[in-house]
Amino acid sequence: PSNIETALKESRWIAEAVVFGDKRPYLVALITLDPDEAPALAAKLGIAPDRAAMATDEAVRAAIGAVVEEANARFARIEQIKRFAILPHDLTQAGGELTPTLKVKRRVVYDTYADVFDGLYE
Amino acid sequence: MSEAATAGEPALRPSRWPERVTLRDGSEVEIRPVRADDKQLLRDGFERLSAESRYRRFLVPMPKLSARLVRYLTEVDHHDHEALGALAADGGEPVGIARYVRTDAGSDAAEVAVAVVDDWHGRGVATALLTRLAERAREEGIVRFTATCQAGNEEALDLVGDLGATRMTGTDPLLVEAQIELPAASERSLSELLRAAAARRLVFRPRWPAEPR
Repeated sequence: PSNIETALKESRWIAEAVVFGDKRPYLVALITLDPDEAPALAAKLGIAPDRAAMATDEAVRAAIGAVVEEANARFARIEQIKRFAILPHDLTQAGGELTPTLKVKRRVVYDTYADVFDGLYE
Repeated sequence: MSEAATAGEPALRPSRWPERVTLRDGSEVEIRPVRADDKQLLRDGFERLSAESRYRRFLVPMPKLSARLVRYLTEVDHHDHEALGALAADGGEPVGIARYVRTDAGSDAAEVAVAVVDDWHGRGVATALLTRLAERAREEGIVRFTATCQAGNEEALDLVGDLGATRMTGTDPLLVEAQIELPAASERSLSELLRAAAARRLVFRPRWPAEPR
């Protein structure tokens, strides 16, 4: 999973991409947009640079979807991301997802966004 | 010029930094606190970290370092967040960085993280940085470091073990969360013991302030 995470995070639009799929039929990704690049993405798509709105905006999903497809093309089918969700904010230290030195706690991410992950498997 | 010293000001006294340190293979580094204008140096050092070293540092892949991260990692206040960088004495290129960040406002505990460029692995850069970072931490009222590393990261586990770490219970079996008590100056000096450990003159796993074997 970390190889395709690397491919996703090479994108200028993506700050974080946490891939999950343990004991599930396919892999999914939780994605956060790079906060400094989000305004440029919004301008490119002709929408308001509002992080919450961008998370569900169809044009943003299409743009990120294209990044996901391009990353997927570099991997075998079982390593590919089938579905993704965009978070309306960055990972937070307050929630324990990020440590103070910016390490990512995958387990905390998974637990915090369990609903989002479940939604990607419906 | 100098107003009343604020916390962290003593750290920046010119006479104390940079500190030149000779590593166990004879190579030399200069260690000093990271400054807000070290952004390019930070980027240069990051470029010299392999993908695996970056993964060990952040616990996720890090193919690029965003401007936002660079700001966070360099604009430190030297009190709640301190970072020390090591530059090659010959050439000045960045070779390692260690930081602590206080876990909560007013807490006496801080999380610690280290990264050393791959070409300089195994020479004692991390130990040299952490020794001095521990002294800085004590000066800022921190008595305990916490560290999180991957369960398979033997170098990191050896390093925190040598610092006398105890393992905390964690919920993620893929991570090791360690706690390191920082001894006060009156106790056996951490830096003394670390230098000895780095020189492999001592092998020890004591709880402070026990005597080493």
